[in-house]
Amino acid sequence: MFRKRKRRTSIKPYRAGRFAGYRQGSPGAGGPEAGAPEAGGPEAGSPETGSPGTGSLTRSLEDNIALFRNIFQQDDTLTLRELDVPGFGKACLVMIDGMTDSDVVNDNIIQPVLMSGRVPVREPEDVGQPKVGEQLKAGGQPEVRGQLEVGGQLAVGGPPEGSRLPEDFKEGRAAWFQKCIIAAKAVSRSSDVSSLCQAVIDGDTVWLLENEPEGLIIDSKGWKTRAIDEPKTETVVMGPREGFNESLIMNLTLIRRRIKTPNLKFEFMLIGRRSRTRVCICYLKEIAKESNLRELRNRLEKIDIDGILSSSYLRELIMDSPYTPFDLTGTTERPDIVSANLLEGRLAVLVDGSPCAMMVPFLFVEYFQANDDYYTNFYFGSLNRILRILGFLFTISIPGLYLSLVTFHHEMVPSSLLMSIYAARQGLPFPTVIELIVMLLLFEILRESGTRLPAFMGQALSIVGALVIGQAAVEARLVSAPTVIVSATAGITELVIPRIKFPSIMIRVLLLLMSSLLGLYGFLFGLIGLLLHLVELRSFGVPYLQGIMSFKKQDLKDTVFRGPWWTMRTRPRNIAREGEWVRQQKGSGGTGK
Amino acid sequence: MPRQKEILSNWSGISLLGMFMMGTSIITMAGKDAGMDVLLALPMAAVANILLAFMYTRILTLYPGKSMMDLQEMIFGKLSKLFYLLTVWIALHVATMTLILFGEFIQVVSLPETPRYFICGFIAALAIWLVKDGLEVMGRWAGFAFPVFLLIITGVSLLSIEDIRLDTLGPFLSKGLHPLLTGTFPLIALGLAFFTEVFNHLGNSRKTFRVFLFGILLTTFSLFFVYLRNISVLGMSFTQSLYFPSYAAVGIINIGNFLQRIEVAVSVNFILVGFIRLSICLYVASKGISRLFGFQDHRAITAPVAFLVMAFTLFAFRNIVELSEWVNSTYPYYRVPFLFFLPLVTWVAGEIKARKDRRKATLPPAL
Amino acid sequence: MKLPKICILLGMLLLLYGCWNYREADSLFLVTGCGLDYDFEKDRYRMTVEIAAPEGSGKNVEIKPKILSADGDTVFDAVRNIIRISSKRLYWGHAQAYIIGRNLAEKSILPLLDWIIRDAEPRETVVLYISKCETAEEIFKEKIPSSRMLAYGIYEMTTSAVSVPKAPYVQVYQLYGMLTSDTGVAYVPAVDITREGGSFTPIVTGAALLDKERLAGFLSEEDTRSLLFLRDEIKGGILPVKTGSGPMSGYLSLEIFKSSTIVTPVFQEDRMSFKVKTALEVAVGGEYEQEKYLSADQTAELENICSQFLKNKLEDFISRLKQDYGLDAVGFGEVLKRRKPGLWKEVKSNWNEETFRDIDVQMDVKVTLRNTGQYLKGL
Repeated sequence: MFRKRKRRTSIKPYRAGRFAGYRQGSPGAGGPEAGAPEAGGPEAGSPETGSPGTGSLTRSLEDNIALFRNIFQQDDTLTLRELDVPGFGKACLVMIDGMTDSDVVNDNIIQPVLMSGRVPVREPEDVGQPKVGEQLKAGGQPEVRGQLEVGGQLAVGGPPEGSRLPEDFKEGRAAWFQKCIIAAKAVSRSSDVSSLCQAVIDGDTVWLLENEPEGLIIDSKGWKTRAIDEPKTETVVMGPREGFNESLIMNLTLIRRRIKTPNLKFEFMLIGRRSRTRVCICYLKEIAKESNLRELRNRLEKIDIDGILSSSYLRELIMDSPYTPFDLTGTTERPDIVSANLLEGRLAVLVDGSPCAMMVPFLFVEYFQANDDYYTNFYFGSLNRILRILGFLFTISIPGLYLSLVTFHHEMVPSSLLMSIYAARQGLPFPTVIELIVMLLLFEILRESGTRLPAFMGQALSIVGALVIGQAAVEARLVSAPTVIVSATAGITELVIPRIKFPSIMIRVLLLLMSSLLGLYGFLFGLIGLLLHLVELRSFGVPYLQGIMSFKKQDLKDTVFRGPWWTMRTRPRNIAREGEWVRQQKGSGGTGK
Repeated sequence: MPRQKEILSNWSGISLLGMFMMGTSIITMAGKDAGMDVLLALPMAAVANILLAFMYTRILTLYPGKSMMDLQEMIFGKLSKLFYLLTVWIALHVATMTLILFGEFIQVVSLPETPRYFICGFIAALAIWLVKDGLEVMGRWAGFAFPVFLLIITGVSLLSIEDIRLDTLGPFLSKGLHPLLTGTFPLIALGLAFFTEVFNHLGNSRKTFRVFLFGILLTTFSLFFVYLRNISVLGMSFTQSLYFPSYAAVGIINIGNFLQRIEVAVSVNFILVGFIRLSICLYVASKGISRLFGFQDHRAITAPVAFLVMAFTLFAFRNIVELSEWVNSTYPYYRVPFLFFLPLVTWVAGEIKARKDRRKATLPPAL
Repeated sequence: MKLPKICILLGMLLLLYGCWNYREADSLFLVTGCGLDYDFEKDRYRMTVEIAAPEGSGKNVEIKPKILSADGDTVFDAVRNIIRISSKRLYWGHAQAYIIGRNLAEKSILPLLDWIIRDAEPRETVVLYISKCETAEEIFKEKIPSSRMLAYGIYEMTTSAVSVPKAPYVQVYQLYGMLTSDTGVAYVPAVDITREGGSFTPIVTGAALLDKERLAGFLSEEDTRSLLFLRDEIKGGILPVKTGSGPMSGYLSLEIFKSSTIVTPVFQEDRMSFKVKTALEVAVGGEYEQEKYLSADQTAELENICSQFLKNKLEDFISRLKQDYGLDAVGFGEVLKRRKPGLWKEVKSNWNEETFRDIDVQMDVKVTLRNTGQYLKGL
């Protein structure tokens, strides 16, 4: 099924650990250098692999602190907070400034730990759950505040009933702190230096105790994220205005809030040898195709790259046909689009630090779909879709068609039009094909400079673009007026679907070159080639053009046209799991059809 | 990952068949020598085509999933190489004629100064690409292009309604039955035999005949309307005097001085269908050659075969006059042994073998 | 692995890059029409073309007509020889009017017709004219200076024949069909020069009758209209009907809405005749004697008068066609061929010369009045 898939990246036996495993305190599940000879040196920070070191903690706090200092040499964001816990001796908190939430560290770690010394020694009562946990549950507020109160109670009222003492824990004192004292939502123990270091880098706090070979990893991640606002590139007229931001967990929440079923699964993976980026595969278990899921995991696991900064990195690494200019995965910054895709049985991949989610499989027809289509009247949605398709067709074909009409097939242009083109071209220095290429190039330059330009300069750009290039060039008889019109039309229609921009530019230029060789026949050969390329493409085994030019009634409802919701009874073919194509049972919907 | 068996959908099959059959007739109006009787010859040829389709279907369904070449190998063993050779020869021949016609057409109607090898090179390159992508992609491509083709035919024919003079039709059968028969023969699509190498990939082999039937009917209807339009717009004598009557007939359309000069639509159509005709021939030829020499995959030799065809185009015919004469007088008979008797022999032998196999299967094991 | 291959292929293409048929619009001269004559003294063809030539420079380029002519041994030779004068290649795809001088037409029109059909540039929908002047060159040379293309003017005069049926609109492909039919009779519009306002202007008037490839004679505008009636080519226009006699009396104009003519062969005993049934739907477009035909009875009378008038016209035309030319321009032969192919084979060899001159034609004209314009009562 995936036979067209050609991989360019070398496949190394590196298996990125699942994040699920990482949460339990085994980050990375062994890097590529697992078992490599860098064991345990104090300077074990291994910059080549990004894995901070190996070996285990010693019983000496001094040594352990020195170890961390060593690993994080020249990193001044490392913060070491040394404590003296009454009754236990020295302790030390290791964290990175800015990655941790100060409130959590102060109120939930430092305060309970300092108070723990006052706990009177008592007889053990039972082996039930730690009281702290129960209170947490009872409080129903797993937030920082709730924990604060717990801390306060501890501080004032002494230890609660049933709390157990350090002597009860055969695992040692670290376990006692873990279970009875620290008021954070996730605490784990580890003596593995590399996992401790990774935890520190991830924003957790590591707690070390004198004479204790295990450190605690306390979840205290907290940093400022961008607020949830509407994505600038994907605005809607009607519809939800929330967009993803750079925090993976926040993004997952946005999806979860839209699909509230336990069948919504989030699988974590770590990708990137150095960046160690958390990547999440989301899908709806009962709808998504098992084979697609397996293939996606497989492809993601094969990735061996040092850093992933955006989901676009992944997109190119897992494409079925790596050379195609077309997107074989969908991209969006909107949780509603991701949710809609999940409901159709697609899989979404979110990457930590990137507001763009990636969705597979992606079909060509999705270029022309916008979420607004579904939020407005279905006639209007269909009209807009047709406009988008026309826009695409115009932008790729107008320059080529114009060129072949005025330089090859003069007989096809109406006499009067040909006369005016004829008059406009008198005494011009360059051939039409050169004019067109230069004008198109200029338009692309204008567009590109406008993209990253501060808004206040935009005006200057448009004046130069419109006046100098548009008018003055014609007045100065450098280019003919029809050429300017043609290239401007091609440029404007290109913007109807911003997502398909690059393929359109490329196809347009190819068609233009073909037209300059053989006129309309060259143009037609180009189109045949384009169709051939689109036909041979597959996204995760699904034919890329599926849904276009299909005569099946059900297929048409969400392709060229946007059918009313009550007619869209099935999901798009071949994407969801076999037999899970029915979206609505008969009889649902306003008209009862 | 091993290549999976390629599966053609029914619509892909119909599209491939329809485009292949219309291949060149759409532009040259095969059978136009019969005069008015060509309109009667079309349905007669359709009947003959359906009868042929029976035979080809039988060949394909004797052992479902086996193509004619597979069957020949099973029956004749070493001797089957001779059969392959003959099939390859005719496939190369048809491909050459199609490619020449492409070049001639484009050169004559629009680009007189552009060298033919250049035009043919483009088409051949596209055909290589298509054939290398495999039958499934070919089928899907045809599945997209065929509706476009039908849409253009319908649209253009509707536009020429104003120029149609039905009173120019007739008289029919004024010269007896002979012209009717000479008009029917070139229209019988013996090229259907190539589809015995294609339709073994159909997803549902029980529907093979239905695909044949639907494709033949669709082609006959489309050709009938095209022929009717050409004759009634241009008049019979002008139609007969032109190499490419469809092109001229559509060039006459002029609706409100706005919709006019749209004959390029005919070129588009011809290129779409001719492209598929060429690709099918290439496919069969390269498949046959790879069997002849025992190659595993025909894709490897598709490009060389295409270059061979391009070389043929250089010396096969001196000019379009010779080609047109040959196509009209010799070719209809020349192809019979390759495309009719060869499958016939295979079919008869296959029936005997299949019966024997069945008896063997039902007989109790020997003591 | 597709991309490198495609890149190599594209690179090779660039090496092969040749702009064989790439022609900028300004590297050509657009031909709008042409005239062909034969110089019997020099024994050469003479081609006169009207081209659209740019005048002025900068932004104020105006397209003006320009006349060029050249000689040649063949038509194509003459066409190519014009390039020597024009310095740019001529483009024929937009030429609309091809005029043949009377002198040449009396010999043959085939040289030009063959070139139009054979060459890819001239279209099959152009119109071939025969000049009533001796040469076609006169038509172009006598032109008043104006910025309008003369050839386009002539062409538009012909296409407007739908509302003024005084000249036939015959495109070249139709002409070919008529010439290759068994009778070989064809007609094309004729073009002449008229003196108006002190200058000479070309005008399309009537038709030229062709016997095989040769000019047989010119038909007047009135006869042309009759011919068009008989061939069922009338789609509109005005039919002036004279109902009385004397100057300024009895003329009545009928606006034609619908006209249909059906020709059927009739065989009685051994005699072959044709029945022509013409039905007309008209409106009174204007009359001088206002009060005369406004009641219901009177309209019936009017219909009769008009029918009789038209019938006389048509019968008169057919009889002159038989006597003067002996050419079956109406197409009775074609009808016979379609209805009785067997009989046609016997008579077709001398159809124009003998049989056509002998046939009887029964006219049946029926004019139906649809309305009388906005008037209920006259002045």
